[in-house]
Amino acid sequence: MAGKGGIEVEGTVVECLRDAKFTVELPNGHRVLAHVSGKVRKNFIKVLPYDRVLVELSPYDLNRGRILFRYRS
Amino acid sequence: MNTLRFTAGDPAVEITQITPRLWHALDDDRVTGRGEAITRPDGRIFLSVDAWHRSVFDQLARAMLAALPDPLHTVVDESDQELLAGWQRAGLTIRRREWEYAVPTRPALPAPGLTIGPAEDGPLRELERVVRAQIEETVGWQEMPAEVMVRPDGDTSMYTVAVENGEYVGLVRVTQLTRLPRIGLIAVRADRQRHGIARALLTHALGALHQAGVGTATAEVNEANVAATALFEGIGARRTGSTVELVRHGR
Repeated sequence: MAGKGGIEVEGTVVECLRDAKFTVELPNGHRVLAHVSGKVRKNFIKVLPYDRVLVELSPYDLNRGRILFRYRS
Repeated sequence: MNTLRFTAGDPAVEITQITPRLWHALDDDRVTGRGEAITRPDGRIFLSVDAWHRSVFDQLARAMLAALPDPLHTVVDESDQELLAGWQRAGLTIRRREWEYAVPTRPALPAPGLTIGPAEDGPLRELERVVRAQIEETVGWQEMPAEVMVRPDGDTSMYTVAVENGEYVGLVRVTQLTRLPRIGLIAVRADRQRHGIARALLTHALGALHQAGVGTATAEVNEANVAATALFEGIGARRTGSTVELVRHGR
């Protein structure tokens, strides 16, 4: 049986960090440390500063997230 | 900030196989981890695991590896040491590396003796057939990008071809889904290689991007492909990172 997913929110990449991590700013100004999801990685999708992305926040730490999707525009 | 993705304090999770290719880690009915397997057009199975804790990653990877047939593959940004270590704990080993390049665009120079331009579906399909056959006879699909295999019917918009004596002899594929275009594939017929056709195609593609106001493109090149590495570095491409492919061959 599938359970509930995490909180998903749109944000903007403001910085690419080392170790394949990114700082993503959410619409409320909160910034999270995010990494790319496996699906994004498997599809060779590059994430760059100013990209709009969909982030799933960690239920254990709201300062962390994973990038589920990068919008084209 | 120096937050680790995989942290201590193991949550008690239940690993559930949702479909033959999808696993969830459930913590009190909340999905806190996912494992997924996809089959690429060349038939190889690629895995991914997303988890917030190291122990959950390990449990998901273990469940997937037990259920799926070998060989199993995954790809990891080499700078992501946590993820790399996770897959190595699961028993996968590095099989190959791809360099990622930032490729500067510049005005194109004419290519003597060659006509370079947009592709038509029929002759492009024939060139793709030839390229597929020469790959199967030489390095094999496991060394090639997935794009070689699949092209939507009739869609030639991403392709530029080199024509010699009325015959398609080479192609370059450029995708531009975002502001950073990607050079996905350059291929030249085996009997026309070492005549500068790949370089001419690449120069032409970069010239078109330059004209469109794009300053940089990206490309990934297999570390073992000496000719391609020399081609990109010869036009001023700069290495920006690397991706490794890991594999588990068998129990």
